[in-house]
Amino acid sequence: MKKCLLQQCLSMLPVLLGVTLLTFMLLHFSGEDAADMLYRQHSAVSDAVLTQTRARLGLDRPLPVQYFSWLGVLLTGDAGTSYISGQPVSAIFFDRLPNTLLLASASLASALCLALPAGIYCALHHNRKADYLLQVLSFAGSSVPCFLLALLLIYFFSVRFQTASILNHSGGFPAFILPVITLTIPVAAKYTRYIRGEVLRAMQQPYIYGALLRGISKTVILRHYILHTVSLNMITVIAMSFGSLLGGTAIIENIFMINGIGSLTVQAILMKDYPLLQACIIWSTLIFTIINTAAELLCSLLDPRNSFSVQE
Amino acid sequence: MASKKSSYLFAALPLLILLLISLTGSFFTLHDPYQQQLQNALLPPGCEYPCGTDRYGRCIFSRLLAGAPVSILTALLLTAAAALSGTAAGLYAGYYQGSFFDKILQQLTNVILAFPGLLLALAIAGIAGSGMLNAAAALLCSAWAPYARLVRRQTISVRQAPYLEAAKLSGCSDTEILLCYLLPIAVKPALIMAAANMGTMLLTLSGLSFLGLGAQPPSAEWGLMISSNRSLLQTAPWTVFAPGMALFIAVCCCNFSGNAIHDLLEPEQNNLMKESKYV
Repeated sequence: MKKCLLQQCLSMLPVLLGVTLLTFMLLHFSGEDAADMLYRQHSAVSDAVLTQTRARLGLDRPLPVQYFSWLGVLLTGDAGTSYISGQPVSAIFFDRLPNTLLLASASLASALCLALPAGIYCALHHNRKADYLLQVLSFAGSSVPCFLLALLLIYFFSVRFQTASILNHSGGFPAFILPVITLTIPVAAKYTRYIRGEVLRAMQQPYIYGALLRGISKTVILRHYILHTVSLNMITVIAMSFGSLLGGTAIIENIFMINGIGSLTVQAILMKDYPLLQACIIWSTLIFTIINTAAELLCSLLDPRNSFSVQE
Repeated sequence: MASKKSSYLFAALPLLILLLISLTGSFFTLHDPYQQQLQNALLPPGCEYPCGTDRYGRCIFSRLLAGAPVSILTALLLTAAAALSGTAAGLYAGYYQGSFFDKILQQLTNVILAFPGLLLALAIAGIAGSGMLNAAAALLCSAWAPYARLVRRQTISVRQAPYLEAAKLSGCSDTEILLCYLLPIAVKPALIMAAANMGTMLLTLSGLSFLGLGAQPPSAEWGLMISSNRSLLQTAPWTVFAPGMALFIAVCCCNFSGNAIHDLLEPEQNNLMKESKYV
């Protein structure tokens, strides 16, 4: 078990190294370096001053040297300070992170609550009217653009029903209701289709026929045989969706004016605040990689076939 | 066989209609999509303007037709480009498994897939500067990786097959084996994946435009139209919902074709499901 854990953690390292390298290169090719940024507010700066500043900041050194010195500083947890506000970027990031985490986990949880019963119901009653209806709904749900959904919700709740209090973005729980609904619908639609397919596939397995022939009741089969298999596969899928929610809530946060990391990233891009962007990319990717690795570990822990191979 | 052909046509029909609209739509515009007529600003949908007008008096219906190629065609071409480049890289790496190229490619795909969701495309698009071309290039940078991984795995799984040994013994060159024997097998999963991704690509592309990182005004790109008319939601909801519905319908068409292509190319799974005796 310990060996397995160690292996997984070690396999993360080259990927994370690659991520830092790619991020570094990306910002290096952005055409503007820290010296340009420092003097952005000043109208005209002589080349001599720029060269001097570059030398002071170490920007005249060869690229690999710059990369490794940057990486060394990054490893101490210091990702630099924002060009705009002057605050440490990691602090800004972690200040915003809870909002996005809350948004992502609430929508994932509600999507699961909707999709699990719906998907199982569809599979058990497949090719019947209710199944077709739910299939059409989930098809529409997975095709709707999230910004259209968000604007529709705002239109109906605040313009038509005059419940504008739902939109007050002073924080607190009510402000999260509409964004969570918006994010839930596409995820729930996707999960319903996935769970339906998985349950149907699990029902074809020979051991299910075996269990049926032995006279085990369908409820027991569903609960103990099928759901166990399906939930194992769901772990990986949930981890993936968590990642895409982590990196993909930018539009929703933008519309509902939530101070999360998605809107922070877009803000950093639009303001050309590159240290902040670097921090957003690296921290989000680190969190995503850890979640994925944890999901893989959890899967191999829960899957009896894998635990055998680990013991050997 | 005829029924199979017709079912392929049926699967591709929504997609073909979509393509037709995006290629010929600009001939059917009722008004000049970029001509501002301030006296006609914010007219509700009616006979003259089927989808109403926006704040500059431009006909939204005409703008939707004019913007169709920007949104749809770019998304489809982008999906095709990602699938092609990913397949080529994956095929080559899988065939020469363990080579330098393979190792580099594996590391690169791992790194690209480690970025959560849109983040990499967002960053590249942001740094390259706004513009539809930059947004498309940014999406391409991150979209090819899943194809490469899939095709590489598929290629490795058939690389040792006896028929490939036979081909090699009968004097086929590596290029011939790659193109004539491996490509047809590797293409299928990539095609299914591409079909499934068309709709998502359309959504992502207009999402980037919505955020201001894709198409720029006065382009009639649908995501941009939604975002620039967002403040009119209360007074003139049609300015937001007309492009929104157009986008929704286009994505539905893409997803419908994608699902149908998936079912056609993987019939085993479907047949299995029809034969289920459980219920």
